[in-house]
Amino acid sequence: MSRYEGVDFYNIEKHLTEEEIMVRDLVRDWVDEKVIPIIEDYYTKGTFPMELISEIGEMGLFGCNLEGYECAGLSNVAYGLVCQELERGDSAIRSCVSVQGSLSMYPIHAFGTEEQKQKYLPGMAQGKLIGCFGLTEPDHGSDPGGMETKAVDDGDSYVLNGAKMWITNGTVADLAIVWAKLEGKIRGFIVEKSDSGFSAPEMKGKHSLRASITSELVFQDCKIPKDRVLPEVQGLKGPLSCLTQARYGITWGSIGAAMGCFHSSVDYSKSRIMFKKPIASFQLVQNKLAWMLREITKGQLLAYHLGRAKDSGEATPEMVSLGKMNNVDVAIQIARMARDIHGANGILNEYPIMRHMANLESVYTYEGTHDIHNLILGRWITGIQAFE
Amino acid sequence: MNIVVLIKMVPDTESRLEIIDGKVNESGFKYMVNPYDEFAVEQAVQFKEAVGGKVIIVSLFSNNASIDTDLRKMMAIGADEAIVLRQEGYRGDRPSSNAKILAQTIKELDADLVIGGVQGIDYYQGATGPMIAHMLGIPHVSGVTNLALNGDKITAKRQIEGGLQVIDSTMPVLITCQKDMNKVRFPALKDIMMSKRKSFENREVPLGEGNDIETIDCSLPPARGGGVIIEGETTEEKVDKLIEKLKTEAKVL
Repeated sequence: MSRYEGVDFYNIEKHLTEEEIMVRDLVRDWVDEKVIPIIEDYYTKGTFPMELISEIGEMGLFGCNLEGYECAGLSNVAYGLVCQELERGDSAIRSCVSVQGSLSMYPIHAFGTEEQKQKYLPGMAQGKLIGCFGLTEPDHGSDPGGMETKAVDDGDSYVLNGAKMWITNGTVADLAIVWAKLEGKIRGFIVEKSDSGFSAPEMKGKHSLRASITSELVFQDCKIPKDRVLPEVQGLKGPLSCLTQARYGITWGSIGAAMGCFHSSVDYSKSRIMFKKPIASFQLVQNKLAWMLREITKGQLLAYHLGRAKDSGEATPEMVSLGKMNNVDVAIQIARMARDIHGANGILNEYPIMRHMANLESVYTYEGTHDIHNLILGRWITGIQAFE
Repeated sequence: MNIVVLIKMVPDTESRLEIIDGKVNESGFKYMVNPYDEFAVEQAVQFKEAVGGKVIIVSLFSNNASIDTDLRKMMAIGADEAIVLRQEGYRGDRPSSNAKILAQTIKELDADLVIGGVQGIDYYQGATGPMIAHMLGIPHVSGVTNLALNGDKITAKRQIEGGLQVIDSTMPVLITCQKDMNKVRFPALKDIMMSKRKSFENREVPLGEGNDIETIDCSLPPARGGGVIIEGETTEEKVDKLIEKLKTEAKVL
């Protein structure tokens, strides 16, 4: 395959700072050297390449758009570019970084005490501590407000009971941000790996995100000290504000996966000979490539504009919903179209296509399903909430 | 320890090569840091980390500013300063005149070590480094695969036919680096952010004069012809025809 040089039809690079370009190129080179050569193997085995965690930490990618506590304090566009490049490698790598930065470090940074920030954030930024985020339950996905996990005040500690499901990084995490109801109100708790009554068995049998660790979190009279509650937030807006951060990263990441599929499709169609000429010379194939480029370019402009809006504090959760929903939707269609262009070869692990396609099925559903994001926009348009 | 790293900006290997009127058309080229020079930056930064000092990048190029970000990346790896000599009409295939201009700048920098790649991957002349050493009146070791500080001396290893040559040199010395001398690091985000605060100086320099060759003509290699399929009724007949061709046409038997 030819060297990957990104896809930038509308010259968006012109609007990036030198620092943002350098960050993008760093992660691009790292993915080429460290992720792409090994990822098919991990995907097949169904395990996460743990050895990459320390490298990601040393580069400072975890929580890199947060300020202080050993975090890089990059712009949201730079963070988006990090997600874009990581997901061209594999959605599992981007998911790991999203969960660590947006879902685990962000709530501590936004809602934690100074002691909690000092205790956890520097280690998490360096990849020495791994975090996970427990909101979804076996019976409550799109309806997180209906959660059944409960916390009870037991004098000098809280006691948690319940179960969370579909938790990225769960089994390998050193700490979990767990959302549970305390006296009927949703609160965030920091549960540590060694806390009694806490276990995180891995979920098996996935046909998607196979290079990612997905777990259950089980709390059976799990006792945690009182200083592990996140004091600064109550209610669903706590976990939802974390999800807005992560969904923003997916807006960029999904386009990264699409860019990888497009690059492979252009290469393949120019070298695959059928009827004595490259299949790239057929109108039907060119039409597919043009559609891919069109949707990638639109998705990039959307992600870029959303990033600048987030930097200036003007991005709303609804804008993020539209970005996540649109970009994952086009990415999955681009992956399917890429599979078509690659013919039977498209199902082989010699090409990244089928892996991206299967991964994106998860991304389509996690962090707010495609349909729920439509309903969030429906509520914004009409003022009527259709999902209560 | 003052270390000067020579960096040549060369056409990106994915650039499309086009010949117009016997000359390479450089107008559409994108440029990148010569890969051999990246090993030099990494080695220089490792020495600085070990014994202290300063790493200064010196590069000669045209006024094209599109190279600045790639040079800045070398500062994210750990170089402290960059001096870019901007020359109207710069060409990468004039080692003698280019070495003269570079040597004049390096002379003022009081370097203990001058280090660069063994050759540029544009013209593969491998001449600029040794010429600079000659002009500075210092020793040089070229094509080094391993370099170590040894008190006030430096020990360089180089691959030679059937063995390894070990050379001790006093300093100052000029070293050119062979491929895979080391593993160039991935910088951390904080190093990238720090790099923009480092000194990046552009200096206008005149077109130098040197004893360089003149390129008369350039051409692309001829397009490869198609292969020949040997026809025949039986395998034996095809093999006989193949052997005949190997004897009479390819003349390898």
